[in-house]
Amino acid sequence: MVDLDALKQAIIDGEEEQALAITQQAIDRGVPPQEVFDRALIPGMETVGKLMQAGEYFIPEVLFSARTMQACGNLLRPIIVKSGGAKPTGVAVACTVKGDLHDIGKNLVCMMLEGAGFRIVDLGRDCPAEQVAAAVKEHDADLVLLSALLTTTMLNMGQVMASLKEKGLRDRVKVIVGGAPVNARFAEKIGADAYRSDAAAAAEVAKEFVAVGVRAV
Amino acid sequence: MQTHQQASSITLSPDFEGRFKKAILRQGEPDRVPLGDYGVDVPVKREFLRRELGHDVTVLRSPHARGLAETVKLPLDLEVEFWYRAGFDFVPLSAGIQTKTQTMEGVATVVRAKYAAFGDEEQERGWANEGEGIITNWREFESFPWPDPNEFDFSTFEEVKQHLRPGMKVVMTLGKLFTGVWWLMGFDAFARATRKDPDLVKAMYEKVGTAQMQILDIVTRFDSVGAVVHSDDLAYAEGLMVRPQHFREHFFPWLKTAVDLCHSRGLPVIVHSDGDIRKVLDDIVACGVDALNPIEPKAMDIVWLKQTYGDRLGLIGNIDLAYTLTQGTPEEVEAEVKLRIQQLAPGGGYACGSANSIPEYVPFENFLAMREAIFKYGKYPIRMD
Repeated sequence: MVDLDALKQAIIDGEEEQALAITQQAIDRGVPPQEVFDRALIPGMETVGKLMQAGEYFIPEVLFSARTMQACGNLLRPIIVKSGGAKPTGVAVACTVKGDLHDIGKNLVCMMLEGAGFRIVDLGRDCPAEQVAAAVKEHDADLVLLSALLTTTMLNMGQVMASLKEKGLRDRVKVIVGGAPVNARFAEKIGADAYRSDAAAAAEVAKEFVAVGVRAV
Repeated sequence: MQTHQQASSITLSPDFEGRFKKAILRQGEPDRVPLGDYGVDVPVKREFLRRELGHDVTVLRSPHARGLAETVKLPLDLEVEFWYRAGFDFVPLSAGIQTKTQTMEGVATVVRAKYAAFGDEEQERGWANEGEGIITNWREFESFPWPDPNEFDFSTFEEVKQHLRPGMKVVMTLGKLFTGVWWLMGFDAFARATRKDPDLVKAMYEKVGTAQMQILDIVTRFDSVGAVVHSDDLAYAEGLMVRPQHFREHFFPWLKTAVDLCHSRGLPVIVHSDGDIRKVLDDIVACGVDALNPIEPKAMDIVWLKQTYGDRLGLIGNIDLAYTLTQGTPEEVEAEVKLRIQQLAPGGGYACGSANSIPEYVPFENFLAMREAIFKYGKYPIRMD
């Protein structure tokens, strides 16, 4: 029998070798990949998120866990695709906005959302607004995740909102913003749906949005 | 055209010993609350001097090199002129191996965009590479051309004496110990090494720390220097970047050594760190640090800090950059400065300034408003109406 509790703990501990060994064992013994995600990988990352919010985990610990989860996910994904694919929790387009290269926060958010079962379309850094809108359309995204470090570059989040509206996409997505200068007041001002101050909280609100339904009626 | 001084009735009388040092060492109330910022971007300085002097000023531009941001700075005489005319008691000058290593290809990536809140000029910014680094393993560590502090040029610390106005001193910014280590490694590689190769992390701290202490030893012998800022971002708004135990093992021993050296030469030490550093405040105090800067409002409550640590730490900064200085009105800037001075300045122990530095994306009129409000409301005894 495959010990998925041990796999969950290996995710929490960021023990990649051990986690990969158990994941491969699960594959070899025919455990459905979605079950591995649902019983080990996703709950493992949820616990990591809680530990980060509780101030017990810091950036290196989260990175270890997230990389471990990514490595296990990479083993499982080809099997999911081959069997016809399991529906992701949602699809999120993520980027650091134009003029800005700060991405560790954005990367952490992407990893946490991946851990929660989202498919991430990561547009990287210094991303023009129109590229975000194009990606939303191409991937039929549910969420847009925007990050910025400076008060000048965060104003480009407003440009993304304008671009989404112009392309008739605004009502099809929920927009979550974050970054050092960003706050709830700014998010409200530009018409974003949420501001969150850390990766774990961003993953929580992302799940809430998808559960309720992102598209405006 | 009136200068800023004439327009606002500000009297320039720098007094590093009797005002700034007295304030940050909590030795009672000086004549007024000093200004406390160490970083003002060149576009802001340039605009200030243009209005003061009635003409544009020359900047020095470093030649472009592949992958590196253009470096723009003022000539030393104009640099001092700015800090004097803006009303500061000191001129900040920096030294350290970061002056060499952060211009090395691979440490940073450059992007060009419009960053200034005034003017349309696009500027280049160098961003620390968070993912990739240039020292990620032992081979790269051994082959890295570590700069030799004995080959650095410290003549600026002597030359500045020609330009310092009476009463002014230099505040020397060094530090970048934790930051220096992870910048060179890239944060990803650094994070991985903390678990997979802790000896490499230890060796990095040893190399960077030793070099920085050598530089500190050299620069603190110049009689132009009046205080030292150890600048190292240990945290972001939500908390420390790494475990407190990491800082206790690798960082605080070096900080204590630096503080002891500075104190042996009569120099106060200010720690500059962004973010929420409450978990290591006791460690900072135990190192003998004299004052804390810049106290980002999103991260820490400065009133709580004053109440809890005000008997042990001077406080510098805190005027909000997330909204007030960058997106607020001059009236909002004035109101926040007035509030902070009333909350923190009675009894001394506070120098007023921004919650990080004055970057080019602070509207110029807001920088002026902060400066003028500090003069207007900072005269002792502090009025509480």
